[in-house]
Amino acid sequence: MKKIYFLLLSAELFLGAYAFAATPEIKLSGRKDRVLASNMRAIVLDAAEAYLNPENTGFIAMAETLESPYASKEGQVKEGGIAVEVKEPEIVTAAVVYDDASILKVIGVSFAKQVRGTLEKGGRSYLQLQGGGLLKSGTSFPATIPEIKDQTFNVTVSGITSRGYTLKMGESTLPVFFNESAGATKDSVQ
Amino acid sequence: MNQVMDKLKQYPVAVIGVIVLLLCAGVTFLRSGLVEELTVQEDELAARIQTINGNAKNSKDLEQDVAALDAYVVSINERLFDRKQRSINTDFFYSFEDRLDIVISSVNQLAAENPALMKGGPNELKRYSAVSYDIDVSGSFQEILAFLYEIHSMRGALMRVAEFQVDVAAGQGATPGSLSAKLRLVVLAQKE
Repeated sequence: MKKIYFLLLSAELFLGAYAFAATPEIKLSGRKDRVLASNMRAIVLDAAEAYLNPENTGFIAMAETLESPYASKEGQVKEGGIAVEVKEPEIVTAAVVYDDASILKVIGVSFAKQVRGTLEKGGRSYLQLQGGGLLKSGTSFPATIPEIKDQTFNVTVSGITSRGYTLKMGESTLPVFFNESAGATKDSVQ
Repeated sequence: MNQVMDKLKQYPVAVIGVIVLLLCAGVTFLRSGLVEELTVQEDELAARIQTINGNAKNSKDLEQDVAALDAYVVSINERLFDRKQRSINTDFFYSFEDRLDIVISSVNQLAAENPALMKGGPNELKRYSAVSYDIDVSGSFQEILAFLYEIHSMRGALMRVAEFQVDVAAGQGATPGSLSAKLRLVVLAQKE
């Protein structure tokens, strides 16, 4: 009895596999003395027509209405096909205490708008800027803030990871994460 | 002799039947080779009749189909690249600049042929060959899409995109919002 069940199951599996086996769209194999069936010829001619004289599908008109996924949006950057959401920290309108940490935080907010994401190449991580430039870890750049117009601050990109980066000015560091708000910390030197 | 005649008179039907049976057996034995040969010939003729009937059935609109297929073959041959005509081939890609308002910064015809399309490869081309190109193009998102659509349409040449990379255009002369794309195209060409 078990043998019969086994045979029935095998037959069913075989027939199922045969029924669902993918057949090629164009099948031209066969004996040379046989005229190809008209339906097979029709498939070949249809394929030739589709490739050589494609119909105007209105794709261009449709494409004109599409919005570029690469357009820069506030807080959203595309990198390598993966959306990296950058939540900008809310700008604090309260009185600013002018120490390194607060200045670095203001600079960090402004700098975050120019950062697209990170790029790892050859074992090194780089910051990708909106203009296409790359900053490697240890790069310093001058920065100014509206609150203190006459002074230029030297900020260093001290660390870059896939989750964010760290800015450093003097003894203060500002970790900036792509998916959460940044907060300035001050290293204790005591 | 008399006994034989007596038996013949006694059982005439049986004796004549035995004689006829022996004659038939002898004839069958002598013609057995011919029978086999004729049987094979009959099978062959039956198969030919079946083929002819099938061909007659499938020959409906055959001439029109052959004419249409010939026209498609001519259309394919007209769009084939000639590997040696590098300047004409390169100019073909630069002509997209006029139609699509894109900027093609480089067109590089690769010397090496795609091994998958060569002899012994999984997608061996028997009647044609293929030429690969690396192309750098920049334009808006819609213009890049239109360029890809033109390639897909294959109006001037039979080609496909083998590799595609797109990024936001960078550099001093880059227009805001424009994209730069790198493509590797495989174009059908005449057989070497």
